[in-house]
Amino acid sequence: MATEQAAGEEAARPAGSGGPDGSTFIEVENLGFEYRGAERAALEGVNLAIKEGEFACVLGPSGCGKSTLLNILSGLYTPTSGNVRIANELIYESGRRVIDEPPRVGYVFQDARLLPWRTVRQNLELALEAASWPKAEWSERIERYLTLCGIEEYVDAWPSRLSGGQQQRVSIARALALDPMILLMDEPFSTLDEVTGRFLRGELLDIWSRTEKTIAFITHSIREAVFLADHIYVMTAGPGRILDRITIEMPRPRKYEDPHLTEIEGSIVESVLGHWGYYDQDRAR
Amino acid sequence: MSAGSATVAIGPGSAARLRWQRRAIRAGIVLGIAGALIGFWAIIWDQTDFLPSPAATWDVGVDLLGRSGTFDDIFATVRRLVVGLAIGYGAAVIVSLIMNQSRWWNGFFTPYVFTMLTIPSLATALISLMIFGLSEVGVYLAVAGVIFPFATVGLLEGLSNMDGRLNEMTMVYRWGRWERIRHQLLPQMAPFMFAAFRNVHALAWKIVVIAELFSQQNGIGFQYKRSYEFFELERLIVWGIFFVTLVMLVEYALLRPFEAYVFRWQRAER
Repeated sequence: MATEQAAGEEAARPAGSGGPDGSTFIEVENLGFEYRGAERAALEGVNLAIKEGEFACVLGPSGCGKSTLLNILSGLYTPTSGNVRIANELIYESGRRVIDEPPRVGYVFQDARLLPWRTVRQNLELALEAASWPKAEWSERIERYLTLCGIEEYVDAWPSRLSGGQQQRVSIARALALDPMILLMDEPFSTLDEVTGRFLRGELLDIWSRTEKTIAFITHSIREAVFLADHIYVMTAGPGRILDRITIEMPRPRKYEDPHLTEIEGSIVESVLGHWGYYDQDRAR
Repeated sequence: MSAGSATVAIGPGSAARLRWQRRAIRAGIVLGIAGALIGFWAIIWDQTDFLPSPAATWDVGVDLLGRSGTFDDIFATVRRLVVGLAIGYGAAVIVSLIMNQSRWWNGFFTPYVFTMLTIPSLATALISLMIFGLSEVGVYLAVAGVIFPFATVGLLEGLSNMDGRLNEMTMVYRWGRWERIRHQLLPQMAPFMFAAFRNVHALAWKIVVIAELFSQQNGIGFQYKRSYEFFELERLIVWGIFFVTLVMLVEYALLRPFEAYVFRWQRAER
């Protein structure tokens, strides 16, 4: 727990979790989810095994349930069927929550979702308070993670003073400041302009390499997925299922303009278009 | 400060000066119209059977201001207003929150709120006075009873317009109930709370004076009744002016600065 930490150290991993050798950290078995009153399931038979410290991208068309999947991992929704394990602890089993305190997650939405009537500092403090971090550590953590995200000078600013990219950075700092088990990101750069987005992608990889978090990143951009991910999990259109797990073998650091990246992107596009039925005139439902 | 804008850049000093200039012009127009009305009054008053002269009215006003009894009356009314508003608005905040958070309680309160809404305000005031025997409490509850349903309805409107996205964020980050109410709900409610308050504030002033008129031996309402019974039109006009001044004071010296403080985050520019 947080109180046992020395200042400036990351949390010790709970017993029985995936070790640094990269054993499975996020495990999803046969997950299903149906919205109440919906005609068909949003997710059906989803299987996923993300290793510790992995940067995983979930790629899928609109409506394939990728946000739903993330909401289940974050604890916002309870699945209708299937099991979810995080750090070897069973969170959901057969459509029921089986744990009292689900693990801390950091969540970055498409929009920053900061409280506009509180300063950046206060926004982070509120998140730390909700996660039961001792007050004495707040100031240091806030400074550390804002600096990591490159916006420490705006610590006492109102969010409306910041640009979209800066607000997203605050949102990322907020997610990290909790020292979450996993970091969930739902198309966090899709609302930003291209230049800011490119810049932040690079920053994110830098932050990832320094914090060694396990990241599940949703995107609909194949290029972004190839640039960021260790593995890409391709989903079908609804009801969503994991269709394919593509390993990106490119060494890091990667360049967004790298022609090799373009090649990989091209081959994925081909296979994905096939999967998503764009070459199929009458897809069976 | 934005750099390199296409429009003429004006520094912060001149922007503030412009604002004050505009306000001065506006105040000037308002005062000018008031002055014109007074001038009109000065011209026609002795053509009528009932209007006093502006001069006589002014004398009465100055005389009243010199008496401590005047301020006793004013404070009595203000006290009743404040207590009545506090009870009525406070109850509305609590009830609207409960109705918003729980479907069961929503069903429970709805008939009461809407019944109270439709009963004429005067009836509510008089019923309260009769029940509580013309005491101070009767006035407090007359005001509270009249404003409560209006405030509740206004606040419920606001509560139904909450941003679901912030809700998702606080749920994912596992905020506690009190943190949500204090940092997420109430700030979003703030514009609606001000609107509902202004609405019932005006109403409360009207009701407190009526309740005093029917039941009390002091206060502005009592003074209205007295002036009417003795047909002292100057006093009636003067008390009317005191009344309006008080309402304006609350609006400009209390509400607006408070509002500016609450919404200071909105005025921040990049």
